[in-house]
Amino acid sequence: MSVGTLGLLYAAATFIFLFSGMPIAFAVGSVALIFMYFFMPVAQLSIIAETIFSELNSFTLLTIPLFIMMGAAIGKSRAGSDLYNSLNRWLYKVPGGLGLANTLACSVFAAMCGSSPATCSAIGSSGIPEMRKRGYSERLATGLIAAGGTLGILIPPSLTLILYGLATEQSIGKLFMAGVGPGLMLTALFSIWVVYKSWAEKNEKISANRSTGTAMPPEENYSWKQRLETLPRLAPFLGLIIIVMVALYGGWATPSEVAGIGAFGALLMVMAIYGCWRWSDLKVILSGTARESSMIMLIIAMSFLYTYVMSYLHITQSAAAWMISLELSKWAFFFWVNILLIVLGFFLPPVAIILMVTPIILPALNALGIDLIWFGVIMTILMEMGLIHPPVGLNLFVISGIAPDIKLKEIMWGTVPFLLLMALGIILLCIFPEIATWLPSQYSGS
Amino acid sequence: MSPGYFISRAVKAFNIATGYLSAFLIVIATCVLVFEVAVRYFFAWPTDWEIEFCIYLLIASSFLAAAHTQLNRGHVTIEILDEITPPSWTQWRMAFSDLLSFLFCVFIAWNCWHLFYEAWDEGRMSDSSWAPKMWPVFATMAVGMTSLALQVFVQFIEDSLPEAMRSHHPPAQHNAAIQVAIERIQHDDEGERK
Repeated sequence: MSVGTLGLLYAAATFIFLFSGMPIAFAVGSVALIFMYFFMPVAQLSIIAETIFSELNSFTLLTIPLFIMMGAAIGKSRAGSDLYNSLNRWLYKVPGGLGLANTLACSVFAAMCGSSPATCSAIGSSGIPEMRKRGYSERLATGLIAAGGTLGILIPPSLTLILYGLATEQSIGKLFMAGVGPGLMLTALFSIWVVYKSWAEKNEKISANRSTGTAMPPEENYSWKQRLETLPRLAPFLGLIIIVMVALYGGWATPSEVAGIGAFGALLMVMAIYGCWRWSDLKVILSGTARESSMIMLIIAMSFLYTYVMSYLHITQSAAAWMISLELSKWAFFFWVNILLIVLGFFLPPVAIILMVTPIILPALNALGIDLIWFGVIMTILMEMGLIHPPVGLNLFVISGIAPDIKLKEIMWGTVPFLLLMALGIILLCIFPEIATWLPSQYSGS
Repeated sequence: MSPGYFISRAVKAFNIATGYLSAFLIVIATCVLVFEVAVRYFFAWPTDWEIEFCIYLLIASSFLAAAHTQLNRGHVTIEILDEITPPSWTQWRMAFSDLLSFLFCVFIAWNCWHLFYEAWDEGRMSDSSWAPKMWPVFATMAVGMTSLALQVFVQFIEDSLPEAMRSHHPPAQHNAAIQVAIERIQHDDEGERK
């Protein structure tokens, strides 16, 4: 059988197993096992446990459960709503200040945890009810939090960038740095949109109320004392972010060590500041960490097995050679890869896409001279889009959990402007790649 | 109490316990890493075992929590066909996928036990300077995959097969990341009500 036919068979089997309803980890693992049985030496099948162990025996992978614990601990505390309340008290005079406070809170919270659903639930659980109370439309309130939550995987620490770094053998530190600029750019784009939209909605409401004679909800007002009193509770968390950033970017500790220190510090802080030391609180953090981490680690283990089989059977190499033989220009290739990643984002979570697709496109990316650090950021933004567009859209379901009375359709419509803003972000990154590459280029560490 | 009911309760209780155990392994790893960074910078002590120990702890944790995650069907699946196929098809597909998942887990578990037995029998050690015995980490992989296989089997017998026979519309399932985010919100709400 030719490698091309084998590759098509492999793709078809993957498609069938993934859509069978099996968990993704088991589905890709099963496809790998079947092809090992039929097309590889029997000895390979008998050392499968050893292969899985050696794939997971990685210093870099150590960061993932640790950053998950850090996010779980901070997400469980009231740090998210404190952060949002504090920003709201400081920004209430700015037009669209409430929406702006939510966007910035998502962005700062994203710097404390690498998870989108965690960012969504932490900020959205206070932010969405408050925005609705203040007359924001359901679409704007939910779309903003769903999109703001996605910053969790772009602004470091980012689980997606760690996996991309692992798949492409790029420095995790440089990738984290490359995520900062685009993270701030998307925060700015979301902020501009939310300020404009809330202003437009407010004007519509004022004119509608004038015609019906209904009064607008009273304006908020906060004294300096009320603004300042929110800061002491936030200071330790902002301190933790600064310690993590300085340790990582200053080259004092490796990403895994930083993740360990971050998780340890976050656990201590939520116990000391928010009193989360009872078993009922701790068990939410512990059980959540164990489940989320095991889910991701099993997908990673089985995706590695899947790509190992692909590479052993020369499917990866043939697919890469075929892509190069198309002789597409750099931007044509980039465009089609973007489309592929968006389509895959309809069905698969970021972790599976990155580990299964990157080895195939990597040789073409190298051949076309595409900067891998820059592309990692683009890929992460595309994965972010997958988190808020249907049908998989993790964040959509989290928002549904926060506001069960809002129809899923409304939440989906609410995310559309933000999807367009993300696409605009990608275009800006293509025109001005320095947004992502400038910071890592200043970095001398490995 | 029928033996089947007893076995199902025992499997679930064991999987909840290993879930918490695995989270404690992650907590221990954080403590060890803080210790490692501290002694390296403040005392310039050699740190030859800490990182390797943490990697083994986290491999053990990933496998030991796998069944705990499966307890609420937290391993992420593609759900799009659930929306577009008739309920009876979906239920049979879910029953079939549970059976395939069970076979997959049994195969991996069997191989993990085999690896554990070899490492135990040969006294295999890691090739690092610390050189710990390898069988404990292989044992956690084997226990984790076995409990995962049992959990999938219990769900196949208790949920998916009878549901397929009845052709009910399947309940919506969310993966672990969504479950955890929603549980946090629900837990906070309960706390506020109290």
